[in-house]
Amino acid sequence: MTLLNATKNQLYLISSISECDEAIKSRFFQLGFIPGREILLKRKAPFFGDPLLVEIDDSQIALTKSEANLIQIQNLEA
Amino acid sequence: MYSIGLIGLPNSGKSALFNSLTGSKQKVANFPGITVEKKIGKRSIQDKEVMIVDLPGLYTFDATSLDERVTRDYVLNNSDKTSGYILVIDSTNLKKSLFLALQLKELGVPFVVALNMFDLAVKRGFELDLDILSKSLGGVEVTTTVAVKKIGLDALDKSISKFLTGSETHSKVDGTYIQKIKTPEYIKDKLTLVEAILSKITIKKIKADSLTAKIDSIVLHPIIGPFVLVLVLVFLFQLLFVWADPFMGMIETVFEFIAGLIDSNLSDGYLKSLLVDGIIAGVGGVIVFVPHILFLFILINILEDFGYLGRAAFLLDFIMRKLGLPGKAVIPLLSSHACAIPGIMGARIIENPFQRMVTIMISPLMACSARLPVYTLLIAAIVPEEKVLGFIGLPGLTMFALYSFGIVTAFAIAFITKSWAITPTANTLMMELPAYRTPNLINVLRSSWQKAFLFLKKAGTIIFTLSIILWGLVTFPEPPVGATEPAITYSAAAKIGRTFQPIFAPLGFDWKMTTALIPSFAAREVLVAAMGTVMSVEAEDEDKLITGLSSKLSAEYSLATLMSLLIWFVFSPQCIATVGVIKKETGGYKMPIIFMAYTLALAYLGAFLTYSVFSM
Repeated sequence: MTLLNATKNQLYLISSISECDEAIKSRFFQLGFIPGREILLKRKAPFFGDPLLVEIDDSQIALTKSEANLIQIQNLEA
Repeated sequence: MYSIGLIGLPNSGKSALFNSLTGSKQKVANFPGITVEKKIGKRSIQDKEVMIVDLPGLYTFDATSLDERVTRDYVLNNSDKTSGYILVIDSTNLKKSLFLALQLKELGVPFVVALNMFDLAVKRGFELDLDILSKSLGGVEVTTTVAVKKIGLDALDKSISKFLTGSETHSKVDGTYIQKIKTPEYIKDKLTLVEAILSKITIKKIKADSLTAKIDSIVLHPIIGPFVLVLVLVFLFQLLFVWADPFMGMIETVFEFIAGLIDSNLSDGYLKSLLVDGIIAGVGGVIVFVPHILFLFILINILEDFGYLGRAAFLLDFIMRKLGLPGKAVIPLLSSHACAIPGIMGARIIENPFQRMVTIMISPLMACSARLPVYTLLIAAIVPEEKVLGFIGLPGLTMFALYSFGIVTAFAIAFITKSWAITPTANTLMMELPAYRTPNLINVLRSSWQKAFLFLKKAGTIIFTLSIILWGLVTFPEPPVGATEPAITYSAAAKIGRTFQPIFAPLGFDWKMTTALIPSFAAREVLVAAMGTVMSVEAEDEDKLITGLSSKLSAEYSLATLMSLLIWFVFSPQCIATVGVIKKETGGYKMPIIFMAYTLALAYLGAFLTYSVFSM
């Protein structure tokens, strides 16, 4: 599943980043979207539910739905 | 002179440290050929004068944005000129910065580490072993600082001083390095190392930032959040429209006073006219924008330092993204309703160069306050004082329509140009929302003043020169002896007005109008006085002038002509200062020329269509 399907305030593990533009990939990495890290969906923007706000390593990161769709996640227990 | 570069992640407190290190001894310029700001300051360290360069923030040397490339290239190409670097690290978020620290180490660049915002980290229960951190980075000196409170600067000075011996030179960086750090193997390897270092140095883990979570639960709340945002934007509007006004008035009074002094002490002649109508009007016309610029930047800086700007961008992202603009673009666009000059300068908050350019180009379409007198005059001449639905005044409704017209056109242009971006920008947001911090007022004031000063210096010279040229055009040649018409009708401006009138005939403009348009390039509101002059309407104040002139206009011109002139003023670039500021902000003649061309085309087309429709 991707970050889009995540339940709010539940911890997940980033499993992989889907194929995308090189620059976007670098940006993901710079902001801490790294396989193996824990990720938490904190909130969605009012009215449109887009962009999303997530937490990785104690930093808050805003990203659009289409960006979130590139982040593959898995349940922490799995 | 020795040179030390400041390097670090965005939001690491790098600029705060720069301000504390250099105080008032700083200079702002742009990096060659681009609009990324370069701040240089001086500091005396152990009796040696040291140049401190504040470099744009970056996460890794695998740079993705323009800002990041500036810093990367600076480090790669200045090995002979830079004595060393200070790596500024946000102590509350060590993990990300360690990656950059390892890269600096690999590059063989001499650097020391400043663990900044250390007080906040300590407050949140963070305990770490600085010695082990230093050893893990191969003996790099590590000190702790609280930049905003000027704590730890002496220790930092001491650690830098070893770079100031003149003997230490470092080798030039290997060009293949940048390719190497892109590989997954490299990244994985370094990430493992970062984790290892972190677990070695951490004595007590940092607690979650509860304050940021609390504030976010209000400002990003589904209902309260948008409400707070609207309040902030209304405040911004109020600040620029109402509270900046007395200051503008004061500046105008001072210039009127000086003009009055010259008027009563000099005999009539070219010198007096040049001083009063040319130079004082020109200089005054530039300085009068300073309150707007200062107020806007003080507010933007406070919101940015506090951490709210990113939240506003988050809330507005969805709507603005449809137009190809970032959420933050709302701030310059809204500010432009007071005046396009602070708006265009405010577009600096937009990192993406293409989106920033689009914002700069559409900002002047917002109905600025200089259009108000023109709109008021023309509405008074053509729109009857009637009520629609019994309570909405028709003149007010027309004014509202003109405001909306500017906004809709601006958004349409943003929407159309969206696809012109070389790298697609429409669907990216991805940004870190920093933890909330208390803004440092001295730094806020200093940086706002720097921007206003840069405006005075750069745009001021252009605007000043053009004002004098305009003065020459309306003054020379003089009317012949025994002339009966107003003096302006004998001037070069009138000659130009008459010459170009045939081009404007399809819009319904006669030579009086085209003549009055020329001085109005100094500023839109000049049209009222200029029309008054060419039509020989005299009045003691602007309100009476508008009343007298509007009845004369409606008697002399058709509805179609006046409507056409009104639409002309929605679009036309009748403001030298705007053009000057676009040149300054984009660093060349290309964008101001494109701006002039497209707004003139829109104005001509809009006025032509209006005239055609209303003459039917």
